Amino acid sequence: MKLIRRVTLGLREGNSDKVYVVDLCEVSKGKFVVNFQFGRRGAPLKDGTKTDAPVAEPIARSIFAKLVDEKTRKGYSETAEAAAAVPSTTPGQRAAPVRSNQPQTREEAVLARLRGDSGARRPWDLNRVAWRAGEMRLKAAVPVLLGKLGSGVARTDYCVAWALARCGDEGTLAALGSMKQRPGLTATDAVEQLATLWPKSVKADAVVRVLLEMFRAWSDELREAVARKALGELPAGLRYAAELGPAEAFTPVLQRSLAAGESANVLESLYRVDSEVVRPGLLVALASVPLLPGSFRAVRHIWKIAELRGDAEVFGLLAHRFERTPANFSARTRRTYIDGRSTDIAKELKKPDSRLAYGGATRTYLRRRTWNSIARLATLEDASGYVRMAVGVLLPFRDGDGGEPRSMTTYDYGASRNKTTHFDRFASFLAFNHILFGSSSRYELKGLTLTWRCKGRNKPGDPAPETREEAFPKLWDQVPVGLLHLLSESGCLPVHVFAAKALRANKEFCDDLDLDAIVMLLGRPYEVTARLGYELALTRYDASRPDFDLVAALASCPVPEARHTARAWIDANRTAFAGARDLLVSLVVSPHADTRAYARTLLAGLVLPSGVPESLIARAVAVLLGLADDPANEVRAQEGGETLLRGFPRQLRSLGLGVLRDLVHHPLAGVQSFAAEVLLAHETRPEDLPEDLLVTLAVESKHAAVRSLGVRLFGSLPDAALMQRVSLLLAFATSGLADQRGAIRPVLQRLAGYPSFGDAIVPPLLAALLTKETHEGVHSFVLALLKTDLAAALGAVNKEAVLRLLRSKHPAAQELGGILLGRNVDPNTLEVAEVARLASHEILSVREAAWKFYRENKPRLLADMSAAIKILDAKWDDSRQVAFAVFREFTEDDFTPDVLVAVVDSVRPDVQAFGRELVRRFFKGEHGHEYLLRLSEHPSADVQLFATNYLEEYASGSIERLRTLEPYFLGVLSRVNRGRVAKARVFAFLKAEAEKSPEAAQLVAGLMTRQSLTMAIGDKAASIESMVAVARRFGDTPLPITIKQPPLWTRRPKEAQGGV
Amino acid sequence: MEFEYRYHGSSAVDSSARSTHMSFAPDTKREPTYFRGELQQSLEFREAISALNAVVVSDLRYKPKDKTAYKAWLAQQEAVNWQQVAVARSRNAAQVKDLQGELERLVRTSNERMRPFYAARQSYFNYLYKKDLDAWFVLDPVITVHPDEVFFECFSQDESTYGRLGASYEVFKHIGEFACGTTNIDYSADLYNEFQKIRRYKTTMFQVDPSGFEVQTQAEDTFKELKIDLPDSWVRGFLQVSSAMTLPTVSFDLHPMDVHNLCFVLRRNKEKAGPRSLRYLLKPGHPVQVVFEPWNLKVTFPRSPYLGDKEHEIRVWGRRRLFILERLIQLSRKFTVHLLGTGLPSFYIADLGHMNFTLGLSGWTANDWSQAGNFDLMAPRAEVDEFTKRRVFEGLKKVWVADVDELSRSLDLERAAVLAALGIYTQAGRAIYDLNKQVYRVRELSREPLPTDKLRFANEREQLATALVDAKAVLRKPPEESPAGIRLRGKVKDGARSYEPELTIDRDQRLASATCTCNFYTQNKLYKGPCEHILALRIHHRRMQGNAS
Repeated sequence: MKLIRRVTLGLREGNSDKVYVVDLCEVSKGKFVVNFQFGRRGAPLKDGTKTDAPVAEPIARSIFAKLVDEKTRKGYSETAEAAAAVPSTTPGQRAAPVRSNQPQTREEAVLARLRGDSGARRPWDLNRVAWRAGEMRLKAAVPVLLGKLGSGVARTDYCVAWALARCGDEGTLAALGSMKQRPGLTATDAVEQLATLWPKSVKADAVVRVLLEMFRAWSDELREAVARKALGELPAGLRYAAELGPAEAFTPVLQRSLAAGESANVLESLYRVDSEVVRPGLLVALASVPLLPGSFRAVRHIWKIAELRGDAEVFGLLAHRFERTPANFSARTRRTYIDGRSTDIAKELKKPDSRLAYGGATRTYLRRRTWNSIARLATLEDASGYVRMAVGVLLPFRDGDGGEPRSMTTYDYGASRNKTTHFDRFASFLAFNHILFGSSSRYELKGLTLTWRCKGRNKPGDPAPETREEAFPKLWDQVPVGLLHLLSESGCLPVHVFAAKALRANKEFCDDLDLDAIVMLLGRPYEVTARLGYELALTRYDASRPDFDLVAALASCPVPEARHTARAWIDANRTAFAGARDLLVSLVVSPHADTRAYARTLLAGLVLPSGVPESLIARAVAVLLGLADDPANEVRAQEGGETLLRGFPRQLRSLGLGVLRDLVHHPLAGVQSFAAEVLLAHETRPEDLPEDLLVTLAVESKHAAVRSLGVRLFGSLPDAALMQRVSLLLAFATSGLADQRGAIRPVLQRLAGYPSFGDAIVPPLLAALLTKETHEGVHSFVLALLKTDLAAALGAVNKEAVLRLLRSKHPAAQELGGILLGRNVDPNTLEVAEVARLASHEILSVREAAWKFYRENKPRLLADMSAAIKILDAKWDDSRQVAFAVFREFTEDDFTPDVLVAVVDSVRPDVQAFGRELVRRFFKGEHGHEYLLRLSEHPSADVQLFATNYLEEYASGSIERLRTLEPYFLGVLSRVNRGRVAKARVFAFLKAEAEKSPEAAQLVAGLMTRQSLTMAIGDKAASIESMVAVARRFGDTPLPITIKQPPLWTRRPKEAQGGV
Repeated sequence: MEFEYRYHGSSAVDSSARSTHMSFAPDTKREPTYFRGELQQSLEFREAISALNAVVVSDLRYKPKDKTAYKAWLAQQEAVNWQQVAVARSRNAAQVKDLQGELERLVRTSNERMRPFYAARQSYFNYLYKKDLDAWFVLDPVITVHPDEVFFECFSQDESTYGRLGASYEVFKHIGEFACGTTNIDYSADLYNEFQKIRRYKTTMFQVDPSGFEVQTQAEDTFKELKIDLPDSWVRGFLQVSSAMTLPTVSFDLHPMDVHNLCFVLRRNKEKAGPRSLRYLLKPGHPVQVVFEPWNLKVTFPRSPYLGDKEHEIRVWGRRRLFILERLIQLSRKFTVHLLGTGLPSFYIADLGHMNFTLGLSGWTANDWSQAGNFDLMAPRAEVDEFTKRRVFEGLKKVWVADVDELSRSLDLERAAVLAALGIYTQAGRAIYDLNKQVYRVRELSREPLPTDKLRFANEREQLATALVDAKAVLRKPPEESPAGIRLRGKVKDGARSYEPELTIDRDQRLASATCTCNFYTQNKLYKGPCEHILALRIHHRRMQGNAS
């Protein structure tokens, strides 16, 4: 037996001080064993072996390496001391391998069990052993496992294939080939002939999935074969895109096809392909695929495969989704409602096309398994595996995922007091808290609960302890790159707090960090991280050879002291920094106001070498263009732009128009206004600037300030050019945006000096006043513009236009009309009727103009009296009062009966009264009949009463007149319960008239016959009286009454008894 | 329901000392309808169109008095009173009294000073009211030009009064070109005032102005666009009243002075308690008599005998609407009254020579839920197939005006079928029955056909109630008479359950109180109107009564 190799390992931990010796020995030619000795240092060591029977050299070497690796991971290290402690073994005195029934290590135990040698241990299920072997990536187990595959028991086959996927390597396929007597089994054949390799096993889909995964893990060749098979399963469109690439083209194709209803099963196939082309699209799809029946199964399969592959990215992404997505149904009930029908959950879930998926129990299992699966790696001391998976789980979390801290108060009957439990923001995320706070004194997870709570008297917001809180800190110390990965990519504060603390503790690693990493740390938006970077930067900075990137990062980091330090460093040696273009640019557009302000003063006092300003501007413009459309960037862009404008006014004058166009189209207002300011001072003359730039700034920009600048720029065009663009000016002046209107006003004021401009712009502005206001405030703006700025040009507005303005419904138009009426319209050109209409106008000045006309133009009024009296119908009391006063001064000859009656005809009581007054004053006997006839047709009771005055004189004795007045009599007498005086007069008049002629008597008899039906006793009596009189006078007139002589005994003689 | 109009300018009346020129602006969105002529019977037209205006602005709904100012004063006064009580008890009563006196003086001075302001503010409010007066009226009148007459129609704001002024062509001379059709006309309060200036000694031109259909060139708003959102109940009211005209009526003539007397009684008396009905007592060969409740004042119309062959006693409500006829008394020769029955619409037609004015009154002034389920005037009366329906309407459209017999002869259709088809179109607002000439006329109420199915019932409970009655799900117990009215009880089987509604109908035929065992009633009582079971019981009761009579 020849000792081929020996490794002596030692471990000193507290009081314990152990050694572990691993030997690789050649028993005979080609036959090797791996033995070990272990025990306390200095004490006799116990022996053991990893190989029950001698094995081939590669297997022996593999077992040897595995054992050493395992012990190293547990903390053993190879030291001289340890070596000295081991009693030297001479070839003659070699210790025989201790053959013991008790396996000494985990690997041994696993292998022993796999071989069926259970030893003294309690029974251990084969499936679990196989799984454990897989977790340990136990290469030595491969031959045994290969033998176990194909049992036909789905669970066993699944577990064995799972283990083989993790343990197998390139040689395994050959081993399989020889085992199955298929020498030369190629990768493609193996994948295609799954069914013949393990006929009993491939009946279960789950086993097929994991078998394919197993092949995929063994070698690149096999991976390609599996990918080819998976590609073949894809729908044609997707397959084409997946084969053709690139990734940017594939992602939308996948999204479209999923949106179009493609089954989520394609995601499984794609994950089997997992090429550079499909992976980005797959990740996007996995982040959004709904966890619902139909798609959840595929998600679950992919997650399990990710766990198998150790694909931390996919594993973490889906684990995060399980944490964030509520279950579709509760785990606590046995039944739930599907489509409104109560359904048994257990029965439904068993159906192949179950309408339920991702219930409460499933979700809880998946969340717990996330942690369990990576925690097992940790217990196996697989530092790289644990850290990789933990990073994958932590990275998807964002600050926004945390809810509000909450608390729960319960009454403790035993202690007779309330007990409050506090939960922090991220309390509901299981694995997240396990990883970050596994050994924390602040948080704990109690029993079978699923929410982390504050431990003891801790509360959310309490300061973190000095000690490290994460689970397995040693593993993190072994693989510190994981921490750096977290710091560079995580968007979650607790993760940064943890990673910064853990990294700071690893001083050795920190000292080895390169400057780029420190710059990265400084650039992170979290203060804890930036502070770590600051501390590291302080130790690294070399004032004699300043690193510009480091200073730039420091000047823009979230730690105020760091920024201050950076400024101090620059101030200490300004000339050295004069040429640092990128540094200066980063100062100018720094996210921090103090740094930006410093940049402004720095640039003012710094003499830059020639050429630097130009390249600095180019670089700064590039940075400005790169700013995202985010309100937080607004002030950066604005102040940065201002700094540039102040620092380099001369250089900016010749900035290229192409660059300016890009700046103008940038969404940020700050960038646009920078471009506008540059354009305002640009060497190109305004009229030579491309029009689209002006339009973009002045019209299309979303920002009022930029539009104002744009209009200013537009206004700086020479007057001749502006006058060519009246329609654009008009559009600005009637724009719905107040700022555009305000900005164009000075331009219009300037142009108002040209008479031709006024002539061109006034008519369309008047038209704008006459049509309905498109936006609030436009009319008042146009009015103000016309009244003040364009007053000179209003002289050309003619009478028709003024009257049109006055007739308009819009107050602004009326007001302008009122102003122009006095100025532009000669009263003598107005028709009297028009003036009368103006007296009803809402604008006082217009009415006043009308009054003035009435007071001063009596001859014209007299010429057209019928039109002049229309003023009496004005809606306004003041106009009517003026009219009364004017007409009262007129004389008798000025009024014809027509006019007087027309005044009385008014419907306004005051005008009627005035009319009656005039009629009384200017009454002429020769027109009496005419007055009576005309007034009698008036519908108002007052005028009817007034007309009765003329009855006696002008209607009496003429049967024709009586006939024409018949409707009047009817009108007066038919009034219901009204007009007593008029009725009495009419009755008396008719009674008298009836005496005069038989014709009149006939007419009166007809009227009275009709009226005698009334219930009003007075009227009835009067009509009967008239009829009796008629009957007495002209007996032959037909009447509906008979006259009876009163009985003799009646004391008070009653003349007649009406019978109807 | 939203109606849109677009007028070219406004309707205007230009009156001078010698002539009056009336020009109505029609809705330019409808097919061109125009007319031009000179009025001969101008006085009659003036009075009739004034009566029509009275219909447009008529609103007799109960409007509670605005007592907020009084309440505020009362609250203030209460505080003062309490203060006084406190003062009377305190030792410093005298001092407080002085202070109060001073305060009172100050308040008075302040009021004095503010008075002009209050007056100005009030006059400003008055001005605003007058300026926007037209906004207070609901729907512009509809004008229809037919080969034999021109007529205006309108419906009041309170959804209860219908007015129609028909003027046959004898009223006009020098008739110009005209195009038959129906259109809305722009109408305003100013227009009413101008109508008052119509005189016999002036020539009066009347025109529905077609210039609105000409192309607009000037960049100026001359079109007046209106969008009126009418409540469905308004449209339903209009259709109910106009479809009621097609039903058989009890009719008689009244002397103008009879209408005068009707108005006279109402003007002289003010009812403070119900019932507020007019009870027409009609005995064949006897003068018509009217009883005014609650005073039981009986008025006999000696020169107006009832010429029917059956005795009737018919009660109608909402009698104060008759004042609309007041202006027509002096010029009309007679009034023809058509009564449909107790609680149903009634019609008064004034004969003005070549003009006639029809006043249609719905059963009650108030169109509230207390009348719900009382009558279903929009129920389809007979079955007729779509094709025949179309044919009849097309036939009527060709001639615009037609007698039923004439139409059935020309179309070679059964009289009953024609009648049924026309009934359906009347209910849809596309035709009307002219009570005066006893003919059917085409009159499209709106540009787009109205959704009759939606308008038949005020709410879905009414619809359900009718369905319940039709399904014979209602079992009525014998009604009990009491001084408060009639008490009805019954059982309504609705689905698997049956409910027991109870209701009382008062002497004004209103639903005075009701209960039911259903969920709707339990939750809402009567705040949202009666439930379908109460309505079903009422409808069933009405049908049983109808059968009995």
